[in-house]
Amino acid sequence: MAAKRRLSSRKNRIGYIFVAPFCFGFVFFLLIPIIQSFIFSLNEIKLGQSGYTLTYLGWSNYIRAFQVDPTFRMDLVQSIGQMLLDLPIILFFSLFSAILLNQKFHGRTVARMLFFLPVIVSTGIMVMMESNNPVYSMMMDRSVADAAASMKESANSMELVLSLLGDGLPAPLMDYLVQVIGRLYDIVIASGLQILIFLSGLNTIPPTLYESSNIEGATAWENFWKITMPMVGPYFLLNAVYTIIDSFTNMNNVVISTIRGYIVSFSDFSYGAAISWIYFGIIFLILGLLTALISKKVFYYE
Amino acid sequence: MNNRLAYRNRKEFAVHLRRKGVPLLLALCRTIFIMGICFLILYPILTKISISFMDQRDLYDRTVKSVPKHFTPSNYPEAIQLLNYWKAIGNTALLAGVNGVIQGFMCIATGYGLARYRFKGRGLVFGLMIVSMVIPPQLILTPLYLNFQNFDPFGIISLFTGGKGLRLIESFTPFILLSITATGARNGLYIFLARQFFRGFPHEIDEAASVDGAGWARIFFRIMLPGAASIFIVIFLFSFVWQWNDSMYTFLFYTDFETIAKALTNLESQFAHIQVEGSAMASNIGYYSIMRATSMLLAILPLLGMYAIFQKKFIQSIERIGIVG
Repeated sequence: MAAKRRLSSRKNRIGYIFVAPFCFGFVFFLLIPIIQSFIFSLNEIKLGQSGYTLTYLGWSNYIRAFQVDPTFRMDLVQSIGQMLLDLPIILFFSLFSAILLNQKFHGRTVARMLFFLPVIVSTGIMVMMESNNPVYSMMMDRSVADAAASMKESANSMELVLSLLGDGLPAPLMDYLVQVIGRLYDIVIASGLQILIFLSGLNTIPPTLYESSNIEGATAWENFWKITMPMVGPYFLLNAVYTIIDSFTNMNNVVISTIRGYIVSFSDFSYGAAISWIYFGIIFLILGLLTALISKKVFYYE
Repeated sequence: MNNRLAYRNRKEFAVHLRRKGVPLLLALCRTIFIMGICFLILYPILTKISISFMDQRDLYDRTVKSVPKHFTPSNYPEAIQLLNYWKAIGNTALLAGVNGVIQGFMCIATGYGLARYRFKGRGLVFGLMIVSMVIPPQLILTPLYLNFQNFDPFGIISLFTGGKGLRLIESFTPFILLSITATGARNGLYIFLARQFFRGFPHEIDEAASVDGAGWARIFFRIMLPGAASIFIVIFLFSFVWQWNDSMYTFLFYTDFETIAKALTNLESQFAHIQVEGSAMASNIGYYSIMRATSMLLAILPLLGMYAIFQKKFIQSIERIGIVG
């Protein structure tokens, strides 16, 4: 028995070979740069011919972000608020779409192909150009402007319909729904990968579970709450984390474009590093809270 | 009414309606929803296609909505010249292809190690992987740039060269280093996908091979790697697409390398220039608006083609990632 255990632990040690490059890379290309960026945020950095020189400043960059910078606090609140509003909708929409795309119907292949198209097309520079459309502001690219106008119009008419239907609904909820409808395109574009993750999650559910529950006489509604939801639970967490990171590091994000302005152009690097540390500190806080919250409810099936 | 009479009583009709009618209604709702979303996704692409065939006159003409009145294909050659298209897509495809292959291989290896070996500290490595998913590239890009400008881990290199590190920027090296160590953009996600894949991959095969005396390297290269072809395609495609559309990394690490994302960014800044200069250049705004739509279309065209070729395999593999046992 002992010999066998020794053998298996020796065999398991081979695993180090596979993860070694990643661990090496983590230290050199993630951990050290992160520490460096923190050091930079506490110093004034001057780029010279050979490398850079640092002058210690203390926390003044952080103080400047909160007390001097006129726009930072507003941008921060805006982008965090936007993300918190979008998160439930993106999760709901992508789970709903994944369940639909998992059913059998005619043209399913085409539908899936189109749903995942944003994953292929709308990344990086494309998203940036799509939303940061200078033509848009000039009202020259009429079709886009028209589309936006008609979108707004339909959002307005939706508001009317909703106000007729949901007379008793509280006003904030109404505003939220109207806003969601107006931003439907952004939400669809942002949920491509989440749909993929949910779809692969749905496939982990053994079909026998549904078969036996159907024999017991469960309805589709009960199946959904008693089987599907608990089983895709871990994917909820993954998707929530991914959505938050995606929306926070998106190039369209106000704070990110500010940071880019400071950092990439080297105009004021240490201040850029300071605001990114504040910003990402808040992300980590939100992620931690969310993980704690969701993982309490999530059931891990091994 | 005739149909109605076929049922013996009202109750049976109700049962029939429930069994047949409700699913039909649900299917109808599903179709409408899916078609609506598909339209929403395709709409910007369709608009660009229609604009790319327009003459400038059509842009100012309120009666032209989506079908151009003065149909012209001449925007394409012009945009190709403006972007230096062939060179740009050649360069981008080379960089994205090399990166995609290396990242696919390394992320699969890391995911395999995490999924199949129970070594000490596995939980820690898994945690590091999650952390690497969460670290935003903006935070580390500049320190990375400075490090690559003067590459000298632990002062080893300066021992040999006498006080100076290696200058690695303006070459492929930073990209390749990041890919080999599976720490490039979004690589944490790819490792996670590969790990999920190998957790579901049948254990019997490698056990049998192990009994037959195959070593770990042989098992990995001869059995696991060919078996992981589908997940490789997924990772390769993601990585390729990301690199294709990325302007951040290439701008910092390889400024002189002409890529399609850079060409688009240049176009964008030229456009911003014209806007500032004001009405004297107004005639150019229509021109740029057309060029912009045409260039964006040209830039995603190779991706669309690749997606069309791989989509079946891609979607199948995605489905299979989750399957247990």
